[in-house]
Amino acid sequence: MSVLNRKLRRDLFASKGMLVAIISIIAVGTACFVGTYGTYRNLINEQASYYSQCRMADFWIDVKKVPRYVLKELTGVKGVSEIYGRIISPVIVEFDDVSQPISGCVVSLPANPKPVINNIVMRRGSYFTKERENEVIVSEIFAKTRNISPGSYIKLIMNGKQKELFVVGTAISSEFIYMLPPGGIVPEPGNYGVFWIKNEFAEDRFGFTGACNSIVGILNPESRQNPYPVLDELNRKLSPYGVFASTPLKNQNSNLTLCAELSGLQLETTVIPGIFLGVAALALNILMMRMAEQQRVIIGTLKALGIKNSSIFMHFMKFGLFTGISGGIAGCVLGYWMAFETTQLYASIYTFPDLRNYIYPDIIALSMLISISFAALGTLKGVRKIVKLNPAESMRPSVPTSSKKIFLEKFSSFWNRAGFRWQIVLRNIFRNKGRTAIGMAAAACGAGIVVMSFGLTDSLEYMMQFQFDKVLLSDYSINFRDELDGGALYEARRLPGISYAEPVLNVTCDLHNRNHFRKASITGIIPNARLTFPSNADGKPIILPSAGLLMSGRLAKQLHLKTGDSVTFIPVKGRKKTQTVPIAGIIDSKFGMPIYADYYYLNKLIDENSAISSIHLKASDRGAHIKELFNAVRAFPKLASLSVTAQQKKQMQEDFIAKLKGIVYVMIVFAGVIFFGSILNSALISLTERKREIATFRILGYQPLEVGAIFFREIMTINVAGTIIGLPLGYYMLYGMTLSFQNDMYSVPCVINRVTWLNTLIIAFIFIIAAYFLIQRLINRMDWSEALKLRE
Amino acid sequence: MNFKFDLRQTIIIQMSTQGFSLMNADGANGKKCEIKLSGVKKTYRMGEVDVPVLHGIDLEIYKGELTAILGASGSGKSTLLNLIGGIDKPSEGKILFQGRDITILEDRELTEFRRKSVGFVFQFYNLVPTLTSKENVQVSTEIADNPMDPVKALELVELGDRIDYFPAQMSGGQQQRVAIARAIAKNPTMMLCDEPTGALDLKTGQSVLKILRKLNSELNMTILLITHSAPIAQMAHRSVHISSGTVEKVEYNEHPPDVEEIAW
Repeated sequence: MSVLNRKLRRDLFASKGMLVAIISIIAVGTACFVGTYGTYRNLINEQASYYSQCRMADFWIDVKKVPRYVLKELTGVKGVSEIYGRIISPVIVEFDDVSQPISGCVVSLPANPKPVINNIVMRRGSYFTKERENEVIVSEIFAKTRNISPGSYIKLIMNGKQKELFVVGTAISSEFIYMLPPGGIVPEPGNYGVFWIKNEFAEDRFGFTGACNSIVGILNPESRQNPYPVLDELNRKLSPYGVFASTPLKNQNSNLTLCAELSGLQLETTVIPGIFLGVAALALNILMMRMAEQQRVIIGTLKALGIKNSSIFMHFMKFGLFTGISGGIAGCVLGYWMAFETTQLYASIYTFPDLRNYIYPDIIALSMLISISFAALGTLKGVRKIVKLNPAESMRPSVPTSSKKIFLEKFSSFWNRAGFRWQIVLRNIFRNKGRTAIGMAAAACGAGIVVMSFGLTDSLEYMMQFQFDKVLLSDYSINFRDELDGGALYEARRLPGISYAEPVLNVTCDLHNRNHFRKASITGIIPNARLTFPSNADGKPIILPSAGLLMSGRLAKQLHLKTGDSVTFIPVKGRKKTQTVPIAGIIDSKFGMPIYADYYYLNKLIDENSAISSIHLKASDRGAHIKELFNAVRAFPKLASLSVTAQQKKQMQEDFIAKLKGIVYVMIVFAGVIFFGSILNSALISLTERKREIATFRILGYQPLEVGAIFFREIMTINVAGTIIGLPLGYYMLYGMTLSFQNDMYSVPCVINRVTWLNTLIIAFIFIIAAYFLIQRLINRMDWSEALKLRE
Repeated sequence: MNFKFDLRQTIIIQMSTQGFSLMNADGANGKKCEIKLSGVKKTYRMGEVDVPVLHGIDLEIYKGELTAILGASGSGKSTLLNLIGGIDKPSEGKILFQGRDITILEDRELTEFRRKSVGFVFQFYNLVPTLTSKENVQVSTEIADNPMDPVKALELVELGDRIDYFPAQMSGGQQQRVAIARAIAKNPTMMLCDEPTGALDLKTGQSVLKILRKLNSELNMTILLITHSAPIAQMAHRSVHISSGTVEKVEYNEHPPDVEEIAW
């Protein structure tokens, strides 16, 4: 081994404390990159594979009823590659031991397995057989939650009649990766299922002989980027058959949620790793600068002996490369674990056939390249100046840094009162501006990550609270397949255990503003409603106007509308009369993009009197009559589903917030690595440089604790200042993250509770104290008498 | 101008405020001129201040000679050594090494020059603290064209029993001897010693000087020795007195005393 390599090995060992600090920071940054990118890749590959396996549709069109022969004509529309018609209908699932009406939907499939669009993947049992008409394949997660196995029977209320079906198997489909019940905001695995039945059976049950009500299709590749012209043409052709909704793939609920998650992950592969690796590069820069400075004479000597600049440069670069490689390897291992855990988390939320964590050599290679590059950059900057010096200059002590007074010394009364300890500290801070800035930057990043992590939980909790404690105050919602008349409200008011009932009318419509268009749903609520409160961004209820629409801010932005503007409104059902309606106000919503209107005004717009789509209920007791309530609700005609607010809230709490907390704690540990690593690195360098100073204090009679106190003041000053800067930084990081999560289905607010600021300061303080204890230990153990023998 | 003419040495020394020049190119005892300095000046930039150190040096160093550069602290002697050794460049003037002008060499060529031709010994040894004495010598031998065996080099300086010792485990004298071994191990053309005994006590310093004398007499090594001590300068064949950046005078020591007789 070359003797310089031997020197390198020993230098590495001698600097092990500082190296461990920096390697940890690099490792965490690399881990975040590998973890998020690996998870992203797992998801996107599985999504592509799943979509391909199931032949995922490019569009969905829901119609009232269309004869199948019409579908052949649709295949001729330019841009359409394939069309498939099926029957879909909401159903109620009956369980003998469950009083709550459980909702679901049936989807028809061919009796014989065929590669249809939106196909299924069998998980247990078999596809349909020839033995029975009334066979059913149940969605896997519902079957698991409700203990339904192949060979058992289930009862479904289809088209108002109960029917017993034989379960032949369980399956999943790419159409339902993220299964939201109608009107729901989170998946409820045990409360909403999908049931695949034979086409012929569905036609018979729902009176759809030779017809269908759901058209799915695949577009030609060139039409996929912009499907709207094709959809418009299809809608035009299907309009005589009553088009309720036409949805391109990008707006399909399941796909929309998944894609939003993927784009959030993509963003995370850059921001968080960038922060960690940037801090590591800065810390390494400081370390290498100090090392090169300390080895200045050695460098000059080596040059004097005839060793080339390039050899000396490479010698120090190897130091940095070792750091980068070590941090990279550790980060890859940690990142693999992170990707594994995160992928498992996603597998519990999204239904995929086989979502697993894989090792991606290109991600590993890229992450190693990134970590090595950052380390090399930090090293390069640190040693370049010294290595460039000619040997004689290198062997001379460096020109002393400015010994001028710092600006604080101008305030003599303050300065004189500060005492010599604070004077030492303040002079060190202001004379080493680069090092101080880097220390503060690291503390700011650490604090920012803590704020962002806690803030994410605060934001989700606020989102939940906004929805369930401010906007929607009902305990239950009864949703109907078709509108009922006002009589349903009287029935609802008499339900057992119910103190109050409010009618709600939901009207699906097309909204146009010049060349901007959206399909939307307007919710009509009664004046002085007590269970639904449209609110502004501050959470304050907005009074419902007697005319006009209260539109969600995000939807208004998409349609380029503001308060006072008018929008063209065309209902998809009924007479489909085109009307112009005013925008009476803009509201805020965390879930979906709701539009509210006065119930009676909305009825008038669609030429109805008191049509009801759903009824919101308030319970008078705490579930004492819940069984009777559920039984009574089951008797309602055209019942589509019953939403239980408490269950939704609980699901959201369990599915999102509880799982997020695990991620938050990991992020806090990572923030700790930055804090701890940066402080330790900086302090260790300082200790090495100031050995003589420490020795002098000890000779004068200062105890180790008293010497350590000077360092403690310096560490505290820099890191507290950095932490304070990190607080608004964390806010902006959270803001950026919540913006990246925004989509049509939900909008995460940027909310940080007061206690989060306090927690951040406490956590920062804990990390600072922990690092200080380690430094004090080193001061206690230092052989300061040896330091006096060191030549300047 | 004053001249001092010595028939036996055939040296003509001219003293002037600008320095001196040696008129007889063959030098004392017919030895070949190894290094020739002409009008060499050096000014350092220290922060915002220019510090002129050498004001015009004319000097010749001969093959196989042990030459002492004598001067007080701040006289410019270390600077002169650095320029001759190619570890710094003059602000003005020429330095010829074996007829080749080293002042116009690029950094790469200067490195090659030092690698092949120059062995350095510094006042504070400048050993790599994380390498053993053998490894410190190997730093030189690994890049030399025709190196000595590191262990042999250490034996030459009577450190054959310390090859695996780190600098921190050795005395100052031993460390300096390692530095000498490092310098000679690559078989350089000349050795440049900057106050080699400056950090040592008398006895230890004498042992170091003995080795230098041995190298000069047995290996015919050209040695340039910087010192502020006149007694030490007596051991050299020639003493070049430097003061305020110029050559004040040159003395020839016809009978250099034994090292044991030198005390400072």
